Amino acid sequence: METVLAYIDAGSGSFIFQVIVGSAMAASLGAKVFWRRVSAIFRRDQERP
Amino acid sequence: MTDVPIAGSFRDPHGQVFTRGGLVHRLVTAEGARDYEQLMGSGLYDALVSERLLVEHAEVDDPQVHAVDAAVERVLLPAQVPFISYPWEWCPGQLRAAALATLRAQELALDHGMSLRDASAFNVQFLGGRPVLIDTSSFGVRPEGDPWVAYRQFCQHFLAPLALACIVDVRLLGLLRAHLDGLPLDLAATLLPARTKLRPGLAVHLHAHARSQRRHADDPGTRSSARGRFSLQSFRGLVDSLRGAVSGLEWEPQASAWNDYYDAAASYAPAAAQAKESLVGEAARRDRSGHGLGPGGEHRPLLPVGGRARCDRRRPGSRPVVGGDVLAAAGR
Repeated sequence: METVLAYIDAGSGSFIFQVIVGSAMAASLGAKVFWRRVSAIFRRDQERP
Repeated sequence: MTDVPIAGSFRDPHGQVFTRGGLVHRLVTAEGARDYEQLMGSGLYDALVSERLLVEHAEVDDPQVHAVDAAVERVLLPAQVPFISYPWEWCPGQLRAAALATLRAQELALDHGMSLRDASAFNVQFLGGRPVLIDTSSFGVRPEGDPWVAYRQFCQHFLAPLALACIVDVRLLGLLRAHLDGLPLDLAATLLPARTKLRPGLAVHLHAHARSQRRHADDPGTRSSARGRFSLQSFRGLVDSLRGAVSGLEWEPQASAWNDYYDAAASYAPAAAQAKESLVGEAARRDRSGHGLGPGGEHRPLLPVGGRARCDRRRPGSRPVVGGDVLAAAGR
């Protein structure tokens, strides 16, 4: 059996946590960017005389 | 001229800081040179400086230092910060502004293939009233697929104390003095009211994050298993989500005996008020950092203590009023 010596690493939980929530945040940002682009098109249309 | 190492500069051996002739310098070792070249060559440095997010520097031609230490590649002379302040001395608006500056710097870094290795509040100072990152060597080439190594630090240094100050009690910012590595997230999660679990930003970055830390604290394989699985889009999403969480935190000053100290109460005779204005105005002229000073209603130029409660108020459509804004408002 291999013995692993390691100290408690408070950063481990943060690392794996980012991987878990990362996809949802990427999707949320994508939706936000998409919405901004769509609303910009409507704003441009409204500004036209 | 003798180089004097700064005792507090020990965490990053590739970008240590020392003073020479009273001026702070930073050295870049051969191992830190790759990151430095990327910072300068990718256009990131110019982008950061043009947005006034990073302290400017000049490279110093110094054959003497190369002779003494062959590992030193460059010597930088950054713009000097005349007044060092600490996060527990800031009002919530300053901490918030510093957090948003850090996130904006990280966003620009991602655009240029880099990432912040540190997201410490100690890396931010206020120059002319604006938050500026002072650690030039905290930018590193982003390891492809790695999560943000400074995510936990950002939450501990910025998000947790800001949430506690804005939602529970502003005096809790003093906890930063006891926790120099930032507020432990489990402590912040315990101190925050249960209703904060309904705020998406805090629910994720503080409460769930603290639980994840507890769960994986004694699991040494977790960190390596997370490597290579974090896309650039996820990284951008994380930074955007953090910005949303920080932006949603605003401090509302509570009623205090100091609120109307100058306006309502006849605390000073006119002559005494005039003398105090002159005294504080003179101090502000000498030290343009504006720390600990704030607008005192009709009593401009500047009044301390009572003004501190107001320094977090924002003008509609503008950035937080801090330091130099106060000086600008006073026409200095």
